[in-house]
Amino acid sequence: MSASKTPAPTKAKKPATKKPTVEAPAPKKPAHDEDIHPVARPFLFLVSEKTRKGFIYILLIATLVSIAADFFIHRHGHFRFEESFGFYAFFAFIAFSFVVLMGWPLRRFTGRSEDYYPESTEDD
Amino acid sequence: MTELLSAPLNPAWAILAAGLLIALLPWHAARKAVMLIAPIVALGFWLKMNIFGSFGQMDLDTIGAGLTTFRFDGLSRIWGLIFIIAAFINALFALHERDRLTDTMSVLYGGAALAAVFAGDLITLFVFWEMTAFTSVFLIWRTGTAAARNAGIRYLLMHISSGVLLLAGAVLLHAQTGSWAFEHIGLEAGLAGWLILIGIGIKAAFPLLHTWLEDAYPKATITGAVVLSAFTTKMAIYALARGYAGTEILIYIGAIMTVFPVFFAVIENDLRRVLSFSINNQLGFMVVGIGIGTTLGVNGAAAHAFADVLFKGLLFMSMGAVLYRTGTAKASELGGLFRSMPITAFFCLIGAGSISAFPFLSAFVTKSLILAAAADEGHWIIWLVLVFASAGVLEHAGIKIPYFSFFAHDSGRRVKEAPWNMLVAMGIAAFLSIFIGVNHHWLYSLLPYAINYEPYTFDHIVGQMQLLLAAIFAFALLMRLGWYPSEKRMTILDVDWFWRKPGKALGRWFYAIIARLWAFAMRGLDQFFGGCSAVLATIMRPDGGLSRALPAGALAGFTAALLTLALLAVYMAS
Repeated sequence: MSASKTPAPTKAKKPATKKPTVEAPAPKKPAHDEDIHPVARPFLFLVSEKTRKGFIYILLIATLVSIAADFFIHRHGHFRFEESFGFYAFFAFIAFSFVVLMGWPLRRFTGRSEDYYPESTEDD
Repeated sequence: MTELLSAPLNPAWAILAAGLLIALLPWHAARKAVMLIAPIVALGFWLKMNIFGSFGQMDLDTIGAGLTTFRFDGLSRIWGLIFIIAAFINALFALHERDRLTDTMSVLYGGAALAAVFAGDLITLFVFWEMTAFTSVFLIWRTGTAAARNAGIRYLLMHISSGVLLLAGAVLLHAQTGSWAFEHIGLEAGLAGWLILIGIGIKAAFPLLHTWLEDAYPKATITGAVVLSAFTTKMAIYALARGYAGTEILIYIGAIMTVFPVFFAVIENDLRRVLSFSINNQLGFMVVGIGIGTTLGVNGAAAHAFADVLFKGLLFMSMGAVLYRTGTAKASELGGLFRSMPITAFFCLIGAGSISAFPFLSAFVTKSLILAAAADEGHWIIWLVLVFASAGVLEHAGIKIPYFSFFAHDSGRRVKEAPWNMLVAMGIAAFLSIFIGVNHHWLYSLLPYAINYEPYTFDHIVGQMQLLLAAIFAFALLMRLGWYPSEKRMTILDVDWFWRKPGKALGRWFYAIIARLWAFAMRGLDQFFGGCSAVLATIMRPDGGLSRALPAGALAGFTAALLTLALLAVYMAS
């Protein structure tokens, strides 16, 4: 039984070795992992491929619903612009994206190697 | 006896005395028991206080000062309570740790911060202000790495300067007013006002004075970082609220503080450093509230400081637990940890939700006070900046911290769940964060001023949900598009680069120049003394001028001349 099955894993491994460059820790399948904490087991669906792909749509719908609330009830604000349609959603989306995207030039400007300060080489 | 029991007792003494006792106790269990009991005793003292007033007066005749060691009023009451709660949670979180020095210093540090909050005069404030620096630095040094040692020295230098500026300002103020009392100071006090403001500003991590925070906190011990996150900065916020409420410049300083750490936190890989940036950002909100200076603004700063001690402590505890179990707090090395640390992950999410101001969690009812205060005064640009910074908070503290440690891609690390004492400590902080979010009236009743604000309105809930959901959607979208800067192991420079690189090089250059000048001066002196001794030697050596043999006749003539002179002198005198 073992003799007949030995070639199969080697075949399976070949494409697997190519893939990790895209997605690194594929080999450890969480479902078969015996070290998973019992409390975490019922929540493994949170990291399933399905949730991962679907999550963005759930968020999109939730965001649209929160914006749609403005159709039905007029929000009162301190400033007139605050009361404009979907203000918080649009402002937050732009602010968040701006903060994240600014990370690229900022890292280029301020990022250095980990041992940039000589003292840090003794760490870890 | 009954009189003594009914007398007001300063809660800080309970903690400080416990710290001294812990220093003497060689038994681990006894130390831990004292660490846990002291905050409970202090809480008893705090609960017993049913009147406001100044107590614990001491006369210091040498400087002509009457010191007030225990002032209990609306402002010190709420700060006192949160510091006592923090001391208890910190003790519980560190229950497993067998280190007498850390135990002693963390308790003394908490006690000093509490004593500073209750100080009624600038001298007492100064003493405990400096004591927080001297005790807390051990929580950084105890890590034992060269990086921690150096960061600790930089930390200590800045904090001692802070105390020195405070003292200098206090002395100047005393010269002007003749009083040491710690009341409203403001910039009207001129130079004294500025000196004290900068002294406090160092500890409150004002922009450009902030580097010690991001430098030292991530290098502190696992338990040390949790302790540090609670006290120093919030003590400084207290001092600002007491001395500088309504100082307009603070609005702009605070606004800058809320914004700039947000950008750095995105690219920072060390998650405890991300949390340090987050402290800086949250302090900004409080500083804005104090700068506005209305009762709502100061209430907002006090409420937010209270909530921040809990949720920031909670986040630091969760990252401490991760560091304890995995040996790293670097985002690039972590991921998927909820599989093995689900309870820690859950508490971390509560902390993340609290700081991001999700409805029914603490910041929703505290941060909104500050935004409302800004809006009430018509500061629309500042208000927009704060909303912008709120989206930034969600990015680094709300999403990045839990996502990259517990979710994201599976790092394959399978570790044990955090020790029970850490879980209970996190549980208490999480419970209180929810408790405040739900029972905001309880917290509002502790605020310095009467308050008439309702956080749970339709406008507020819908607006906040729009903000949070749209920002989380932005995160998911940027991740999907691959536009989110991936976590990389690297050093992100801050303004301390100026003194850690060119400053250090300049120092070295000066040192080299001085060493050379010294050598040159020494050589010159050598030549001078060498010349003198050569002259003396030529005079005094055996064949020198002074040793030349003179004829006997000359000596007799010389003696006769001296005698004649003596005789003449005697004759003239008589």
